[in-house]
Amino acid sequence: MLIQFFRQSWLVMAAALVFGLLVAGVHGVLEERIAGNATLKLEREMKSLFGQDSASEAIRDENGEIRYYKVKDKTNAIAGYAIVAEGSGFADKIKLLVATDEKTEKLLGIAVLKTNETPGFGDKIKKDKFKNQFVGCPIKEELSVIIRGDRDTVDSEIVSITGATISSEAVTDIVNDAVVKLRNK
Amino acid sequence: MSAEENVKLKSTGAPEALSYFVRGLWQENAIFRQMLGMCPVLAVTAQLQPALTMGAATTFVLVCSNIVVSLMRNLLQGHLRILMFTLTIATFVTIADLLLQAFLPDMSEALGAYVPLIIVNCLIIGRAEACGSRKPAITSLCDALGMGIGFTFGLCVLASVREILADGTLWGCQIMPDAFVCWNVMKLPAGAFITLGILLGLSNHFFKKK
Repeated sequence: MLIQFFRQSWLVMAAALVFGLLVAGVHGVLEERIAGNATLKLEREMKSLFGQDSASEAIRDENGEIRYYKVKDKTNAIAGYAIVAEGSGFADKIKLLVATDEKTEKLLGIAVLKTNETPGFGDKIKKDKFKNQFVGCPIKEELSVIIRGDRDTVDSEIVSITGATISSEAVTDIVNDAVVKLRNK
Repeated sequence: MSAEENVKLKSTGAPEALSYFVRGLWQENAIFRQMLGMCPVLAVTAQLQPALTMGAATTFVLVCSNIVVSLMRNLLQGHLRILMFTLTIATFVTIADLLLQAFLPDMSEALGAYVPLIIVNCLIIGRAEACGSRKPAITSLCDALGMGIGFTFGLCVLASVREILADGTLWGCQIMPDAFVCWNVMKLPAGAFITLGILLGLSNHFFKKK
């Protein structure tokens, strides 16, 4: 019985092992480069949120993990704070960069660092039409998602991409959590 | 038609591998003849750059998986073969995805979920079944290259038409006069269907034997 089982499936097991090692090897070789690309992207998004002359400084906790970024403008005054925040989307984790002003009273905007949302629907969270709603939002209260509304009014109501609101709500929840984290920094 | 053609090519002395290569280019073209792998054809052909990247990634996966399947064709158990094909394809799709993330991050982002989705491209599993699991490695390599280039060619034709009409550009460079009014519909899924339909109609009208 057992021998029969192995005779049938040894190739699958052997191939899984070899292919697994192959993928792990390629990942090992490319990991650094991929991480480097992500850092470059973070810097680029930071500059587009805070202006080209801004400089960001990573604030780390005792374990050396980055907690948030303190961003200064060209006169060396604090322009605001930014944090990388992650949460569950529809298909995969969504990773955002959330930026607030220096008093954490207003959002300066968000940037999408990573998303695997449904092409054509959920991935519209990357579009300016959706993202720009967060620019200037008051964040004393939590942001909420509504289905119908005007995207151009600056308020704490975020108009979802479509009537199916999973991706829009995911983004809004991530932003709310990030704001709490920045406020209690 | 293919069997007939095959006999013809064999009688002229062309080796089998070459005949497989040539077939994939047009005669059995994945897009215009077999209509396989329609998901990327419709989804990533709004612009030429992502379309070419997708074509290259698909060709890479097709070549690698076809060779590997061919090398282990004598070990395959009939009822486990699809599992083995999928395992092989998944491995190379993951590698292609990592390579894109490392060396072409912008393209990787533009293609998004469509790179992992190469795994369900039926062109690849179709070639593994039809050629990889039956023919020696060199034939499988040529077959994969032919099919891959044919597929990339199809993607690029569609993407060129759509990019020119939607943005007035090609490969990001403006080629239409300033007075040209962009056809926004060409950017949308409807534009993909319309372009594909017209191209299929034209290719059938001009090239299909009556």
